[in-house]
Amino acid sequence: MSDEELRSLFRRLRTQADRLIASLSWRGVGPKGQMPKGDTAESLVQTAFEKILSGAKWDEGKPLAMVMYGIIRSHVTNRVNSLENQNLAPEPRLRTEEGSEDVSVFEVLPDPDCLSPVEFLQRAEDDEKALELLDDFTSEQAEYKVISAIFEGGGKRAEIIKRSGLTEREYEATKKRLRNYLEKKRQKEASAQHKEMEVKP
Amino acid sequence: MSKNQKDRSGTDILADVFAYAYETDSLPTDKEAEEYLAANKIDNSELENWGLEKLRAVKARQKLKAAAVAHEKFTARFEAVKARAASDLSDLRKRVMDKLQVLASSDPESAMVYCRKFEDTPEEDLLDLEAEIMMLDEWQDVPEK
Repeated sequence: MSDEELRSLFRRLRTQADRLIASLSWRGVGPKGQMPKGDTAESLVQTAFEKILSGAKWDEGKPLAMVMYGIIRSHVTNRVNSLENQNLAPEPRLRTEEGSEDVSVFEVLPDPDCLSPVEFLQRAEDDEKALELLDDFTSEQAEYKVISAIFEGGGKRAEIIKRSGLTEREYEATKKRLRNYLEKKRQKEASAQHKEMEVKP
Repeated sequence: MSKNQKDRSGTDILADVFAYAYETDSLPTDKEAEEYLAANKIDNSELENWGLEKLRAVKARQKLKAAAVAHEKFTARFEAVKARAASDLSDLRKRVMDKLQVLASSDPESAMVYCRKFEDTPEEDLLDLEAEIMMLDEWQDVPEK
């Protein structure tokens, strides 16, 4: 690998790690892109590269950039999952009969999808956030069309274009607008969080 | 609506919306990455230099390892040749072998080549081989400009 190839690889991975962190704001990742345990886009690239150099095994038919991005993604997913597990509120408890001891709400009302209490609460929170996001736009806006296409059919490009009725060009332009919107929303939430922290002694 | 669509939760939907907006499912091209880093005022040079240093260190370690392996191979071969020639070792053969041993400490790969040559060279051509090895040794002593 030449020096320029390595520089290019690192530029692409740094960019993607940065985007990945930004895309996880809805999962509790810090407002300025901090990951749990102090990880940053830079340290994620370093971790992936060190794994490759120390002999991590991978499918050699796959491009190195994809392999390293896979390592970054799985590292980030593990970190975020453990952060969510820490942040979740204790499971609600109910008293079923007078004088009886409290029991977990999940023992009284078992979840039909067999989710754990943690997963159940997380899903409820995410359902609410997803609906909020849809409500941020009017049905005429392209952003609304894209989000509702994702609601209906998933995140594949062809599916979104087909369901939203947007042209390829509109699809790309909407992507940028939606990203800017999400960025602004993230910054707004971060500043509200910051103010809240200042008020609390 | 299929079962899969009906079962999509807010978690799946948010993951897809953010993956769409931030393009996290595909890697950017180098040009896109350059534009992104510039737009976000991210200086990537420190990270790139760190990567280059790491790669150089690994390459240097691999080179040393390969040299050690080559030297080991040479030593084994040399010992075998020495043992075979021990019974009828002429002075000339002895000299050539001494020179091969010296060459092996600086350039085990070339020494290996000459070791093979030595095995195949008849007695009458040994002087030429000695001269060749001496010349190679002298060239290596000349400092690089």
